[in-house]
This record gives sequence, structure tokens and C-alpha cells, in this order.
Amino acid sequence: MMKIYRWMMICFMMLMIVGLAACKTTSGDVLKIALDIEDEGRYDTLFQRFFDETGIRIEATFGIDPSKCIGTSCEPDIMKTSTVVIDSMQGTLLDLTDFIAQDDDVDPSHYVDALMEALTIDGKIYALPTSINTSLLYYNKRLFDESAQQIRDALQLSLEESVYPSSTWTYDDYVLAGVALSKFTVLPNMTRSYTQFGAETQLIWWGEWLVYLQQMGGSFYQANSQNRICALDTAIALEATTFYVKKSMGNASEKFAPNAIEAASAFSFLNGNVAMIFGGHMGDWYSYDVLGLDWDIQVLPVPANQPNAVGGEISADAFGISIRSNKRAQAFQFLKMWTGVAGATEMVKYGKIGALKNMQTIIHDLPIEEQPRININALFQAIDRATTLPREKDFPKVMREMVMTELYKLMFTGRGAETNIQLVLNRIKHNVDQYYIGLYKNN
Amino acid sequence: MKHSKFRKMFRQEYRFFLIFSGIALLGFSLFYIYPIIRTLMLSFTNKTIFDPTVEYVGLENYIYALTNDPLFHQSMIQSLIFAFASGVMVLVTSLLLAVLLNSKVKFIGIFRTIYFIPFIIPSFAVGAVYKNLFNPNTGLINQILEWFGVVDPPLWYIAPSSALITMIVISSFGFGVKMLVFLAALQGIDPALYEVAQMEGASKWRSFRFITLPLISPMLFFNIILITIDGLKAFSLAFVMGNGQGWPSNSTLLFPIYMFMTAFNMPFRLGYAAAMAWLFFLMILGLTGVNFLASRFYVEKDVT
Repeated sequence: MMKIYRWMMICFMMLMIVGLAACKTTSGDVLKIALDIEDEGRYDTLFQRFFDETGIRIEATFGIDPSKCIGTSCEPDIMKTSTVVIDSMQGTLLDLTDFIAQDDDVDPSHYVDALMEALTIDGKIYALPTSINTSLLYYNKRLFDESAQQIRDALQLSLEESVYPSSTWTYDDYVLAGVALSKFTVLPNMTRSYTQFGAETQLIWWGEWLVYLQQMGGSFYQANSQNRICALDTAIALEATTFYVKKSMGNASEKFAPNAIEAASAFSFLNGNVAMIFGGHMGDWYSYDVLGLDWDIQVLPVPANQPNAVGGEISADAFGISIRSNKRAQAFQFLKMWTGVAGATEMVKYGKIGALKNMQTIIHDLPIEEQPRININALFQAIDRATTLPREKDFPKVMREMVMTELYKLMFTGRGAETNIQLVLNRIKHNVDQYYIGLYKNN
Repeated sequence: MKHSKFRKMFRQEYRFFLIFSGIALLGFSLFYIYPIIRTLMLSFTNKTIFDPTVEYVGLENYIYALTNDPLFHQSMIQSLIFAFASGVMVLVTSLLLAVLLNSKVKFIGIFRTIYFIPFIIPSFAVGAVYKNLFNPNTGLINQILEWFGVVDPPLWYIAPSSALITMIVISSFGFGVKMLVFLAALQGIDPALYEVAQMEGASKWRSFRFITLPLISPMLFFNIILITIDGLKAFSLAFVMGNGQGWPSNSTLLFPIYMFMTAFNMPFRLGYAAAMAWLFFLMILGLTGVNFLASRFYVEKDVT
């Protein structure tokens, strides 16, 4: 009995040791990279190519949050970051500046400048960008075709002119087309019941409202305030917010987007009952295709009096090397391929557009069946005009918890709703300023 | 001699105890004791998820939360309101249903199963279903209200003023386990007591008030403790209803959600979230203490 017991204990211990060893960082020529869950199987060819060239195997994990792996044996050598979170992740990423300086094949100037600026902190480059996201005007071609006559009437277009959004659209065109695309019936109690809208309303994500503000010439933070004083007490902020609110809450000739109540009732671009998105996310391209939407893109409309207005927000996924990796040189070799032409070419197949300046040429050189079937020129025009988010690590928190929560109150009618836009903006400014005072004690 | 006897006893009686409880203790230490100690240590630092440099900040996180963070206060108050209101509703509903299910009606097993079903459905699924039911435009609830002539039905979870109330209403369906606890207690009451009361001319209410309630009071106390803690640490329903961020306008921002957002959304303030977790723990501890004190006034000591 005792012998059996002892053997059982030995077997248990052995199993524990084998189990723990399996979790340990793989030795030999293996690099680890953490990718998104949808990336599973997509880049096997690229990994094989890297193995053929260098003898180093790439081991990818999919859908595991790298932040949860930090400090564990499962920590990847190559870590995903982005232009938005780079400030928060700086401490975990290796400074790549020397690697880049010593390598003739990598030139930071080959990447979109705004993105490289965002990934450079105090003159040190911490990551290289891969797939871009920038604000665009998305439109459903089927809905535009179905309302072609109404759009022609509204925009006074001739029969030869396209009804689809053009690169010269102003906000006025956007509103007129949006209203023409909105369908409603008037109920006996004189309220409007919509079945289709011209555009989406972004109620949680700030990407729409902030772009209106910036395109009209405003900004969220006061200049020279170290991004700690809110600038929403300006006439431009009021004008931009009024535009944002009116498109959902206005009268029949102004409203072309769902309010908060309507937005909860399955009105969305994805559902095929909303014709446009102002802003959007390029990560959704794949979903649009999977759902069979007939869609395309255009540069964002601009205010009529601001023909050279800045574009929307630009950001990018990026990859860096973990400061804890002991295979830094090998990791940089892979990073070069991953963020270079080879990686960008693979990513295009899945609707991801690389951050290289010559991306347009790279796409053009692809076989026709591998090229995105959309107005890719509009994307590169949008990238040229786009601007990055303010460099302030609390910015997403402030927008999420203090700005969008207040703006939301303007987007419905009933108890708890607000109608005084100036009052709401004043409250946001007060809350944001107090937040930074509390955080930095007037320093 | 004594020593060898002890060894023999240890080998014989405690061997399996150590093997099986050892695994549980190891798990408990790894997944409960260690995180608790680690959280306490973190709460005195400015640790963020990605930043490996950590500074000791003393009580700064605690002071900031108590004096400088309006969302800390708002989420704490909302959690208390939620815990109290949903607690009362769950307690009343579960007791009422347990009394009904304790009666001699046909197909009682089917009814018990039906009432228990909401408990076994994951809160995420429950939240998603109720979001559709409470949709102000297309939801069944408002359609029924309109059939009954309600002209201006509530906006439910869409309006900040009614979102928390909606969540409380939904959470009151989570009475499954509490109802079973009451049912078990009710079935332990000797029917002869009711027969005597009936012979003495006691009404149903007086029987309930002077026989049922005192005899199930230990279980009532147990349920109150469970409900208080459940309500205060409610997460999944609030996460679904509020899109993970207290939507709309922080009105469904319960304390666990705010703590989660602070730790795992930008700028990933782990140290601050850990301090909030400890403040929250102290609050739950305090309320449980109050419950224990209050129990002296309503829990019948001798129910045999």
C-alpha cells in the first residue's frame, strides 16, 4: 500500500514538473508574438517564410491579452501596442532606436509621419506601426442607389453625376444627402417613426464628435496647457456640438441620424438600415464584407468655410519588443518583416492597411483579386489629412467617463435629458479641469 | 512511545486529510490569500499594468479616492442603492415564492423548476434578453404598457434617470437560491404548529407572522447576508446593461465596474484600483457587521 502511495506521489510530482516546464519560455530559436483572436491561421505563410530565411520559428498566441502575460513565462517577445496606448506601455517596451539606426533596411521615414511621431517618446522609438485606422466616410451603395432621385434633388445633381459621396463634399452636402436618405412615417400623434437613417450616431466612442470639433478648428485641450485644461468654452466647441446634436435631435429637415433611443433599436450601418458612418473603424471592414454589404469609402466631408480642415483621427496598431525578451536581435529581425512590405502585403488580404508611405503602390502591385474593392485613393487622401489623438494618457478615460457621458444627455428626450448645449459643455470643462487639478495638484 | 503513536495516527488518519485538503489549501492560498496580500501591497503604490517602475505612495490612493474622485463616490452610492433595493426585492420575492411553492398544489415540481430557471441562466444572457424586453421603442414591456393606455412609457435603460431602476428590477429575478433556502427552512417546520394555530383561531397572516417568520429567521439572516454581498459585488449584469462602462452617463456605474475600468482600461491604474478594492472590502465588512448586530433583534435563537 505504501509503495503504491509513494509511486503515486512520484508520478504526481513528475506531472507537476512537466506541466510547469511546458509553461516556461520556449528555448531554442523560437520567438513568441501575441496576436488578436481573429488573426489565427492568417499569417502562417509569413511565419514559415521567416523560418525558411532565418531558422527561427514564430510561435503566436491568439486572443490572449499581453498585459496579462507580463511577468509570466508566457510573455511574448514581440508585443502588440498602438499609437493610443504607447505612453502607458512605454516601460515594457525596448527602445528600438539603436536597432533601427544600425539597420539599413529599416527607415522610420518610410512610415506615415504622424504615426511615427506618436510611437516616438523623448526621441526614442518604441514600436513600429502595422495596420492603420483612420476616420473615413463609409457609405452603403445600395441605400444610395435606392434613394438616388431624392439625393439628386437635394444636392441638385445632374443625371451624369454620381450620387455617392464625393471628395468635395461639405457638411452641407452631408446633411442634405443624410436627410434625403432618411425614411420615416408620421404617426397619428405627429411623431416621426424612422425606418432608415442617413448616418450613424457615435454615442460611446468620441471619434465622431471630436472630429467635428477639430474640423471646425477647435481642440479639446487648450494650447500650451500640457493637455490639462479643457478648451470646450469656445464658440467653435458650441458650434461643433450643436451640429453633432442636431443631426440626431433636429426637426425633419435637419435630423438624419438616430437619437439614443433609436440607436438602441438596431439602427446601424452593419444592419444595413443606416446609409453612412462619419468616422468608423477600419477594423470593421472585414465584418462589412462578411455581412455582404455593398459599401465604399470617401474622405470625410469638411465644413464649407474650412476647405483645408484637418481630417479625422489616425491611429495604428504597432509592435515592439518586450524589454524582458532575451532574443532581442532575432525579434527585431522579425519585426522588420512584420512591419515591412511582406507583413503589409499579407495584412491587406484581411482588410488591414499597412502604415508604410508607399502602401498605395504596394496595393496597386497586388493581383487584382487581392486588392481591396473600394476607393483606396480616398483612404490615402484621408491619411494625409488625418491627425493623431492628444498625447495624454488619461485622454481615453476623460473622454469615456466625463465627455461622452455628458454629451449623451443631449441625445434623447424625456426625464434626465438636457437641451442646453452650452451648459453641458461648461459642465464637461469644469469636471475635466477639476480632474486634472486633483491629479496634478496645479503642477 | 508517544511519539511513534502520534506518527502512526498521523499516517493513518491525517494522510488523506492532508492530501485532499492540501490541494484545496494550495488553491486557496494561490488564488485567494496571495491576491489579497498582493492587492494590499499594490494599494500603497502607483503601479500601472504596463509600467514596470513602481513607487510607494503611502495612503495617497486611499485619500484621493475618498476626497478627490467623484466617480468613486457616485459608484459607491449607486452600489449601495442597488444592493439595498434589489436586496429587498429579492428577499420579498424569494420568501413569497417559497411560501407559495411550499403549499400543496398540483405539479409543484414544475413550478419549482420554472422559478429556478432564471438563476441557472448566465447573467450575461439574462442582461441581453432584458435589454431587448426593456427597449423603449421595440421592447415587449413598453408595448404591454401601451396596450394598457400608458401614453409616455419609461425609457428604462436608455435614460440615466431610470437605468439603475431598470437594473434593479431585472436583478430581482435572481431569487433562485434564496428561494430554495427559504423553501428548505419552510419544509422543516412541523405542520402540527399550524394545525394548533388554526384550532386556536389564528389567521393565515398571524400564523405566518408568529410561527413561520420566527422559525425561518436563521435562514432569513443567512439570506440577508448573501443578498447584501451579492448586491454589492454585482458585476456581470451591470457590465452587460452598461456596456462595460456604466452607460448611460455613468448611471449604471456600480462600484465593481468602476474598479474594473480603473484597473483594466487606460491608463490602467492598478495601484489605485487596489486601494478602491480595499475600501470596498471595508465597506462590505462594515455592512456585514451591521447585519450581524441587527440579527440580534430578529433571529430566533431557539427554533427547535
